[in-house]
Amino acid sequence: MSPLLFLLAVAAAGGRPSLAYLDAVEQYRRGDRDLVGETWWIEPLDEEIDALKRLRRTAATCGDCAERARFEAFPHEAAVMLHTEQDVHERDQIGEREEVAPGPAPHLEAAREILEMIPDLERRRRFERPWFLAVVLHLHRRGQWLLAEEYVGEALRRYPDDPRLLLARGSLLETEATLDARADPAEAAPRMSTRARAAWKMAAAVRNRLADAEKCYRRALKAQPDLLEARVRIGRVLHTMGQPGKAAAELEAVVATPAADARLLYLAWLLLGAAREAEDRPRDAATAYRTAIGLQPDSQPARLALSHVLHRLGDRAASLEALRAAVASAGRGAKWDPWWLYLWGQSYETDGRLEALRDEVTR
Amino acid sequence: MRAAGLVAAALLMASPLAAQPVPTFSASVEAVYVDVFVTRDGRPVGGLTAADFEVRDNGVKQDVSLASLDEVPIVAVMVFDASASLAGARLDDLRAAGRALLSGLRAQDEAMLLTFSHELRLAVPPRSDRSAVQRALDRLVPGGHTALWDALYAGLKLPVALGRPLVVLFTDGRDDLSWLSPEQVLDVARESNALVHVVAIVPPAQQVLAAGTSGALRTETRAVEPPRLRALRAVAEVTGGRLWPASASAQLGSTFLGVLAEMQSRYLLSYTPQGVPREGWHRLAVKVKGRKGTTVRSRGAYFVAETAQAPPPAR
Repeated sequence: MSPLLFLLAVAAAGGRPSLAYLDAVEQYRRGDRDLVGETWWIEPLDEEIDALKRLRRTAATCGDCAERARFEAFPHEAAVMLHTEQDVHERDQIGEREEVAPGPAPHLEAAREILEMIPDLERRRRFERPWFLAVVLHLHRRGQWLLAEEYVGEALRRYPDDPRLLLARGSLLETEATLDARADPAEAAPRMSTRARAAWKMAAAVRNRLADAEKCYRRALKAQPDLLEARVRIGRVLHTMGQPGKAAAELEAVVATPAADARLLYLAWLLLGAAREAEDRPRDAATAYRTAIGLQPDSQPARLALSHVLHRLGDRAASLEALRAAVASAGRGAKWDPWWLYLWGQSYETDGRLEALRDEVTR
Repeated sequence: MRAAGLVAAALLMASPLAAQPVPTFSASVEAVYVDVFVTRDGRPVGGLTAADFEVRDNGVKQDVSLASLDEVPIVAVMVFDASASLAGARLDDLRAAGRALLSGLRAQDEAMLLTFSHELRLAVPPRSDRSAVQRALDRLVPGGHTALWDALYAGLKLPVALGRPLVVLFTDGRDDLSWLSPEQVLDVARESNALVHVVAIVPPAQQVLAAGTSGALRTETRAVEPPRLRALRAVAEVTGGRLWPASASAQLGSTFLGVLAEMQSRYLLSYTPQGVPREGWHRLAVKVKGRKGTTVRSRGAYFVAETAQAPPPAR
């Protein structure tokens, strides 16, 4: 059945998704993204999703009926992506805020519900794994930790050994642990009498999250031994947990890998510098930072790190020179240094992954 | 050397060994300058002479003289948070406060502006032309995350012009992307010649329950100082400066002027170290003789580096 016939047929039947909604999904499937960000096609959202569910129930019980054909002709994947892009758009509108309070995600929920309705199991499995990953990365990028955890948890229940999902979950836990370690117990417990306990609980939660993150990274590496980002992150987690020697060993393994890409090599050298400093080997740290700068010449974090370690070594003139170079590098090179993006996990892949999914449903 | 309220100090090294600038007013090639703030009942005490002070360097009493503050320009290093959390009225208030600080500087003083989000930007290098700083403040566009400790490190080390470096850090205390840790910056502050004042937006006082002596519960209003501000307070105090809490950005203008007023009612003591080795750490103790009830705030130590030699940890 052609999409147009489908629309007409469904619209003719009462209690089904509205013509406006179906038309929007069809427009999107044809590659028209202009309606993302508009609201005319989603009012009221709950009713459209309920109508789709009713159609599915009817299709499931009516045998070889017309309703079934109509339901199966519905472009589920396109609908999933339309709702997903709507969520991305709405969160992008909030801008680059440092902190965004956790909130509801009605469009992602709608997308997930429609995903479950994809009639063919193989077809659904082909689509849902990359979709879950893209959504988790998008939520991580937007600082929606709880939602991201929920989605990655669901994805890992379905695909427990997927290395990319494991890497994403580990990164999420590591980010949360890092931010929690800088959090203020007074915000969690305004009363003085309970603050010490709150601080202790927060410290324990940070340790547990870091340990869980390390487990995720190790499982990811086991599933995909060449997933070097997992090893870089193991290095940082071990350093954060006060094990610089073990951290350095992991990072040394990364920098010795010929196939590593420049971004990962840069991060590995930068973090190796930090581990060497913690091992009280400032000269080796300086060498590591200089190598990182060689890979990313406009890196402000690496130049700052070098300035500080030179200060520690007593070479004040070189330290000042490195600091001046760090400040002079502002605005040059990439807008976001890989270190600045580190806490945002694999967010740098989000747009590419969403685009690949979009291409798949609109081709 | 400890005081409860408004007291501060900074140290200017006129030694060729010092990492920081050599003041031109120096009468001696190895003079040490100690910036001192004296109060009684929270108010600055004026009219003191060199004879009123006792300075001990590593426990050894020194022969001090008093330098005129007019001879020494202030290099005001404005280290301002420009991250996304500054958007809105807070930015307008900060601009106004920055202008107030600039207008309070003397003709011989210099100002520089270092802004930070996740990235540090030297918006205006040290110069006596205030309008450049003012224009940079007007052009400030907040955005991004926060590398507060990296910025403070840069603020401590960058001012190498001659004079008394005064770092005025404005922050809400949040940091999510610094490479350097508070402890690392504290160590650098100990060695720096800069005087650090931190102007921080702090949460308002909270109502808390407390037990009285009879065990009965009562409500008390307590200012809650988050740990992130405690670390900033430590950095300020180790340089002889202080943390200036502001519960609203509207208070920033008067707070900045308070910082400047304090800077201009300090004493600058000078001495040539006698009876102590010149390299390494020097513990400083400054007190006012024969004046009960006065509190003195000044830097607690200074460090003279040997070329290309790692300093011992300052603890």
